[in-house]
Amino acid sequence: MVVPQHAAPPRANPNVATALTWLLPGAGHLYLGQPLVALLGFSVVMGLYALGLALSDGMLFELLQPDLRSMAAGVLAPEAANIAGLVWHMKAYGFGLPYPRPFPEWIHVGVWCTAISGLLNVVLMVKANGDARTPSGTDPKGTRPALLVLAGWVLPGLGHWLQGRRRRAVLVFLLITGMVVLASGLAQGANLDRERHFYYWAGQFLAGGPSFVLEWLHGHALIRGEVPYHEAGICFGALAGLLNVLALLDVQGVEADRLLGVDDSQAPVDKSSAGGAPTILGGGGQS
Amino acid sequence: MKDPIVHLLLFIAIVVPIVVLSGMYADRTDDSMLKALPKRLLMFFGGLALLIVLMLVVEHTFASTT
Repeated sequence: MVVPQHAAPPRANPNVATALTWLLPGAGHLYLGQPLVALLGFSVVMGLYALGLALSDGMLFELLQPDLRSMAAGVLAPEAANIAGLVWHMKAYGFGLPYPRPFPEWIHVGVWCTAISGLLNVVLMVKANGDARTPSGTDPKGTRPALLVLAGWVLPGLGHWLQGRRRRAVLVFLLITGMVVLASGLAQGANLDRERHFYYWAGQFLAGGPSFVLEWLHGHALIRGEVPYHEAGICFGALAGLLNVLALLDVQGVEADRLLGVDDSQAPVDKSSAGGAPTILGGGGQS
Repeated sequence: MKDPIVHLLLFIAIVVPIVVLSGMYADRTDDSMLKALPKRLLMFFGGLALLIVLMLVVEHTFASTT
């Protein structure tokens, strides 16, 4: 059952707001007439990218093997969610100097910062999309879906839990975290190093907190000897992250529908309202 | 095949999350998602079985050296 609660049109085109944010963090909110949010979003997302560049000395793409270095190298990296940052990175550092040099001590922290910058820009895009879809004349409501998506990345299932979908939250947590743990066991930690598996790491990054904790615990140790299920491990890790994206889309979709007063499953429905048309009771923080 | 039991367990370990999480994306209520789970698993296994048969036929027809 689909019950539109607001007849008023959205305040702006959500696709434009989302695309502008993707191109330049904060640009979507400038378009929405929210300059302070735009400035804050830009500062946090690009500031984190700048910190990552400083810590890694811009050597992220030098982790790639020479035959993988191309114009499209960054497309499958989490940094691609922050186009402005990625373009800046490629223009300023590219694939580095034409001779080998040691990586800086903090490169792993640095590349996590640039990757998280991309993830935070996704969160900003979700907020811009939600803000744009909020009807004119009401307060923008994009913050909650964005924060729930962030929570679901930090800890798989947390977004569902905060939505009150507890059973689903536990299932998501067990499946995603279990897959990352199993992956790390199978690959004996070989999956936990961006230098070793640049693109598989990008997939695994989407599983969020569990990947970070395991990488921190493993400490990028050397792999000595044969790892029989190495390939299975890196595939499991990357798949865990990609499946967490499905879980995050579920969180965002439900929350955005609650935002718009469209809820086909969760909210109690009052069928006694005038004219027989059902209305949603307490449908997700409507004002 | 080397370690067929391990491979079978790994296969199950990867299929269950794929089917359950895609079911979550498709069904917003847990009850309908859990109710549809056996059918989704059957469809997934059936689809994979079909793919395996297709690959074996293609291999036998185009790649076999015997």
